[in-house]
Amino acid sequence: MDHGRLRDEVSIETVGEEVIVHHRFIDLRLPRGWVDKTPEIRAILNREADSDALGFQDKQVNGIVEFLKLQDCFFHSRAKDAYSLREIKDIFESIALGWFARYYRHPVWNRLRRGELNLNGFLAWVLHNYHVSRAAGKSGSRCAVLFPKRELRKFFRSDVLEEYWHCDAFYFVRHPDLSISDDDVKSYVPLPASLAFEQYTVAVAETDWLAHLLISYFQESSIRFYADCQKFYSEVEAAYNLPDFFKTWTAHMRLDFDHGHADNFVEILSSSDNVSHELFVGSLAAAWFAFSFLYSSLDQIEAEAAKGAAVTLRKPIRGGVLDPSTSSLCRVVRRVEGTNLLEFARVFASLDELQPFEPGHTAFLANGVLEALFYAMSFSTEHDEIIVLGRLIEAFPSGKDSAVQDHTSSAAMAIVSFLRAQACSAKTLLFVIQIAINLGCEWARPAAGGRTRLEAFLKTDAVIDRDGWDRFATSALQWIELLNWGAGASEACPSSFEI
Amino acid sequence: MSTAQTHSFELQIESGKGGSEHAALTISNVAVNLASDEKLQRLLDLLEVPKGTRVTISTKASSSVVR
Repeated sequence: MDHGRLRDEVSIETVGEEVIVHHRFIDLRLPRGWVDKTPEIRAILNREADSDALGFQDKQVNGIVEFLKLQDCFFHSRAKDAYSLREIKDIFESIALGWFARYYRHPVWNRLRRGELNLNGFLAWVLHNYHVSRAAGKSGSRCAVLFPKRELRKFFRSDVLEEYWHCDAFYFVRHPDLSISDDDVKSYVPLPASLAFEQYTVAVAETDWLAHLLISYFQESSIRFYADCQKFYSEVEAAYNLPDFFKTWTAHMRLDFDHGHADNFVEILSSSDNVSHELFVGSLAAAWFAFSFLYSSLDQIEAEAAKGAAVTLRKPIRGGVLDPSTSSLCRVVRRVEGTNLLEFARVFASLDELQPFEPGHTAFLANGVLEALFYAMSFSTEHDEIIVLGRLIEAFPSGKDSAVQDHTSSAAMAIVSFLRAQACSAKTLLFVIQIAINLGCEWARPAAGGRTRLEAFLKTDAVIDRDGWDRFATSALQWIELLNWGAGASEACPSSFEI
Repeated sequence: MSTAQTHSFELQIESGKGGSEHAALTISNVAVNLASDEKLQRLLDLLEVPKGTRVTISTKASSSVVR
């Protein structure tokens, strides 16, 4: 049990004549000479002593320890078998503040403040916000129907009606100096992490009510930074010479304020209902993935900026033509054609090279494919679809463990969430699985008999016309983006949280 | 404390008019350990810390997380 050691997120650095304690939003700078001759402080900074274990006689040592305590630098474990929601909210508060600090340390913010991110990047960030806003009504709707408790379902029935229209009212780009139409905004293909956030939070709403509450509270409680936000928006407006650009964003914050949205979640999380330790840990991990998607989106905004200075939106494919000069979703110029989804899958698999996945993700991803196939069968209304889905499921090894493991990466979770989201259309799901097979993803590969059935179905039962090309082409490019995200470096879920 | 009062309190603190000497603020029922450099330094001074100790805000918040 921990009684007052420095939190994991506290880091110590010696620079010149100062020892710096970095924690969340602040740096405490101690005179190095004093630290060197004060063993109690050195022991605390080295995590060799707990703040509660020693009775400090020295007033200066006491002063520093007291300051660090007030800044929540010390961890006191409150782990036990079960927690009230109020206790969970208190524990999560510290964790959320750490996430906020990390989120706001991302270099993209200063690049925006200074106008250093090009318009591509600026617009990618603006439209990421549109997508996250749009996701609120969608995920909340699942909660309104599927949450296990009647009071919570009732709350979300009301919450959804307060949230669903915000993307429409506050997050279009209607600035006279930017030629971005409402249709441009609505059709902008989400960044992989924005998409993952939406798809994942919708899925979590079905399976983990506590995680969904924690994610929603995290989002709403960012209102605590109201003043900093306003200052930031003023700086960005000046840097990009876009006066009043954030007028509607500020109006949205005011609305959140006036409606007490953060307070609503505080109230829900104030009940004495009990939750087991195991459920709480699982929900924290689930909430972490949502946070990781928000954080990864900041990286992807920078990547969008790096594609070029000329404004090129992430437009969906039109007329079967891939062209990086008209849509930054494309990497190569190519006309894509095919009469069925098997041919189409071959075309897209030839567009990109894919790095092999780390072996650790294989079981998790294979299980994601299997679950998506089951989901697809549950939605299917056609005889042939049900049969091919069943044959495919039989052609995969039976799933051993569907649980998230410590090393599960955010990109792997994004891939699984994407598969799950495609399951409402068996043809789309089978199409993206075929692309993954063609790209050499072993985790997507059923036994030979299953592959034959899949190919036959995509060839004869999934005939597409020109109207269908563009929709499948856009989905294919989104899928390949996700696979490439998974093939690169992606952060893993922490093995533990400070509870 | 009503919701409206809580919000009013937050705005006062954030705009530096609250006069609180304490760095751990309560905003909209959400505990947050943020304040201005000046307030944090004042807190340090109240606590009798070694000469030369200083505190700086390393990270400023930017855009809110939309919902």
